[in-house]
Amino acid sequence: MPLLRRRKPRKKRCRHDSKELEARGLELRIPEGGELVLLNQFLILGALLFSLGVYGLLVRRNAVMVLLSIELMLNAVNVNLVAFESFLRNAGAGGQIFAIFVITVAAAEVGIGLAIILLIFRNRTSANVDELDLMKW
Amino acid sequence: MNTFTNLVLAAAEEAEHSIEYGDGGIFAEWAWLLVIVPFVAFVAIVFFGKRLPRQGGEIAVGAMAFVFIYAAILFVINTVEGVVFEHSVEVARIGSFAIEWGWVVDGLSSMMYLVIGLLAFLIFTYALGYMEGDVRPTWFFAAFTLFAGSMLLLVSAPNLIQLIVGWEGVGLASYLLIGHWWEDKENSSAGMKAFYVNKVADIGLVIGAFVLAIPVGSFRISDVLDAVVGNSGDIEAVAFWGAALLFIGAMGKSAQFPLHVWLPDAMAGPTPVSALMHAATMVTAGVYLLGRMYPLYAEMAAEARVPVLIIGTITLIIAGLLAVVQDDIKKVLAYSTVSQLGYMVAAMGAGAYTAGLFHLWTHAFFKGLLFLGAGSVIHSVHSNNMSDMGGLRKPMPVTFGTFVAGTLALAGIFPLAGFFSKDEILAAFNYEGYTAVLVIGVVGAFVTAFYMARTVFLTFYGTYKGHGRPHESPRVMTMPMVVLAGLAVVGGWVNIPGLYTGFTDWVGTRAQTFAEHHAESFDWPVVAIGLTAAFLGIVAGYFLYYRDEETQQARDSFRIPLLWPLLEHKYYLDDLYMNGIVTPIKGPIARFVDWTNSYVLDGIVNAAGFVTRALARFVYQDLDQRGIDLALNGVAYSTDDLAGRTRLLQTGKVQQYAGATVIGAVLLVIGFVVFG
Amino acid sequence: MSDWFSEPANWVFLVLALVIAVSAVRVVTSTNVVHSALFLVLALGATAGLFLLLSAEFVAWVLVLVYIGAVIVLFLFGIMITRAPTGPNVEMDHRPRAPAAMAAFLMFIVTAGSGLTAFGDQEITRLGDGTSTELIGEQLLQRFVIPFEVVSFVLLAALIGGITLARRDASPAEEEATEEEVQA
Repeated sequence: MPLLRRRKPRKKRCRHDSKELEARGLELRIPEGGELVLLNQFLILGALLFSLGVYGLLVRRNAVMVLLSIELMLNAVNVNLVAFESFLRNAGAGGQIFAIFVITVAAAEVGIGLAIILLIFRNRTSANVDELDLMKW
Repeated sequence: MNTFTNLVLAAAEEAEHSIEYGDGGIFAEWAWLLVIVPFVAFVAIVFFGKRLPRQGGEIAVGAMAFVFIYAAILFVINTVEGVVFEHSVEVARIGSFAIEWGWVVDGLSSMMYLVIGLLAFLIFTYALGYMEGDVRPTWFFAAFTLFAGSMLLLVSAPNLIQLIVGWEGVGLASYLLIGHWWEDKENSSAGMKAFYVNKVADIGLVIGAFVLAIPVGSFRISDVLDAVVGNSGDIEAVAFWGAALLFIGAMGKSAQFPLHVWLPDAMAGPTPVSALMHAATMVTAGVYLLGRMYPLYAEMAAEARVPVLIIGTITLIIAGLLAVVQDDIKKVLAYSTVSQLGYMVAAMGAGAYTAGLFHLWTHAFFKGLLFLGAGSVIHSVHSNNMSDMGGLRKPMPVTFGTFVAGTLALAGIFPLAGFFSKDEILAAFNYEGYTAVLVIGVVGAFVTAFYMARTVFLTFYGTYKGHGRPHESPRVMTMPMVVLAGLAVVGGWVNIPGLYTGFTDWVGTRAQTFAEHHAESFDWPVVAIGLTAAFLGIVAGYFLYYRDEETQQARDSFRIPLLWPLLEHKYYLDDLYMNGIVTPIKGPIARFVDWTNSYVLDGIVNAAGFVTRALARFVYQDLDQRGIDLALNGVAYSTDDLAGRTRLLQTGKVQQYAGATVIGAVLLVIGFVVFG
Repeated sequence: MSDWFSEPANWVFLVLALVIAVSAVRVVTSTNVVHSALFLVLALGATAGLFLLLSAEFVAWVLVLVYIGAVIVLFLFGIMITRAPTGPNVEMDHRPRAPAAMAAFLMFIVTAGSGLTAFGDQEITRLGDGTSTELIGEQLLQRFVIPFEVVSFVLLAALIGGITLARRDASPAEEEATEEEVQA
């Protein structure tokens, strides 16, 4: 990443002994930078995004807006997945692949969700969730 | 087994093949063309078919002619020297499992190639005439070619994955072609029914394939069968379940009871489709699967043959009986097909590998022929119903002649094809000592002859009752029928016990050796009984359904008592399936509850009320009602009040539920942290 | 803490996180549905930037293409078709909001708190060491091939389901209406 290329490498901080890693069949990749980037800053951002999504999910009246909030929550999950992928150094792209899966499933979910909303709208001429209370007493 | 039969079958042997076979040379190496050419033709028809004078039909027929010639060459090579050839190309790899595409040329597959190539070539030619003036002939030929390609893919499969791909491909083509005239709702639902029923069965096939492949570590059929023949312990543990699951798949495709319901409905498709797919080739895929995996069923999973035998036997008799009551000529033939498939499956179950495949071979000829004949009649009369036919012997001589040849072959009259194959199956039942099955098989032979005689008499004798003037079909349709009629006569001569048993050697040309029974000489008592049953069937048909001008009125309305209602409702199987889930819950139980309610409960309640009233009047005067009333009313009111409050929890508002879920999740996490 | 600020990547992070947080807040508070959707675009775009920072280029571009390119367009269509109210004085939220805000806040405390206690001040040391798209492709078709197939099946099911749901089958009432029209 040219954006993040450091001018002079700092002291390398490795938490793993290279020999120990080699014994486990893993390759030690010494990073070029980003030593002071904490994992937690991403996790907290993810938690914030997720909570905002929860808030929107609970408070919005329009079904489309509820779906938008769900997208926000899924996005929070993606942030966490990619951050963990970066954090665990030999994850073999698992985090990113699952982020891709989440994106795919989210796309499917939006398609179905909007189809359902469309159907509700057709039947009730409103897409407000609080008017859908057929399940009550 | 009785001693008499023992004597007769003294010459029978348990075959052991340990001969070195040839590899088929360049023709076997290039056998992938068999699969590729139809698929290329499919693409060509889709893209260029519409611009051609025959709407793409000529490409389809050309491709089938190629397949037929190539298959004939392979067949001849196999006949001369015996070929066992297999080649696989890796397509993808998941872990240690390789997904491969390949092709097998051995006795079994080259027999199937020939059947498919020959029938497809003839029926495609026939379809040129039959589908003339259709709404979408291009699409018909495209889907038909797709079917041929998928069927060849299935038959040529050296591994289970490719077999499943071909299996689903023919299922897809079947769905498309049954619903070819989808403007009619009935046709498209018939297509869907076929698809659904087959899907149910396919689950068994897929799971079975995995069950067998995982202990061996390979999807290759030869690897699985080598492990079976080598008595590998890993596969022995799963052999029974794998074999049983594969058979469930075969039950769907080969329309075995109770999954046979889709095949009669599949007759909604054009008649060439019924002839090629739903009579000659596709429905025999299940039998082919059993044959391909036969070394597994031979010894290791011999217990799995018991359900195969039972299901086959049930199928052969119930479907045969159903054929008796149908008015739709194609449905007669459809049930007949189910019944004959029952014979094949039962033969496989009885351990008669050759007999089952031999019946597949002869059945392909005469049943394909019968369907083409029926199609020719339908084409001329514009109705499927035999009540609209009659007296067609004069205007349609070629159709009549060939149809009768097919009928006699199917009925098993000496020396036509069906005689030899059916007799071999019956002899195998006898040899293995399945007397009950033998009896049912003989009854089945009687029923077969009876309903076919009925069909012939109702269709070709008596007076014509339809509209318009019936006429003979064009040459492009009659020529294939004449060829098939010839084959229906001579097709059985390739396996005459004691005289010439070439067929046994052809289909025995396999990479694996396995024990299998086939007769070395005729089982004369069985021959006599079988032939008598067939003759009796035809005679019975003659007496009940032969129509001339005078007797016609009486004959037309004839219904066999007792049996008829049951059969006309197809043993109520469709009703059972349609209502089987809903009605037992909704209908009888509700009715039972209602009955119980109005008689038993009401009786009890009334009686109790009567007694109580007498008692109460007594108590009322003695006990001060205020104390008790207060207590009871208090309970009632407080319950009502509580319910009124708690029911407010169920607001029906989704988001409040979601909020509760969120809070619940949070509390769970806190709980884990605090108490974990 | 000064160490943290001396790291340029963190400055990038701060800017992006600020953008994400603000636009996420706007997504759930805006009274205009279209604005909400557009703020979601902003939040997702910034998230894609965050992925670039975490050297997950492929995911970043997938996010941009699939979400911003396709999903949001779908949303805008959904808003348009359901004629969602877009005026300023429309009641967009339930009242009262406080319980929802409380639940969301608790959620934040729990998730963020568990992250803080579990990972403390551990660092991401791999920043700038990009995962090649080639590796993702290989992994996708080898180790994760079964989930991959399952996801493809889900997509197919969603496709069919979406069509089936949204297709307008004439209801009996509508059929009667058209019949009446014909008769009239």
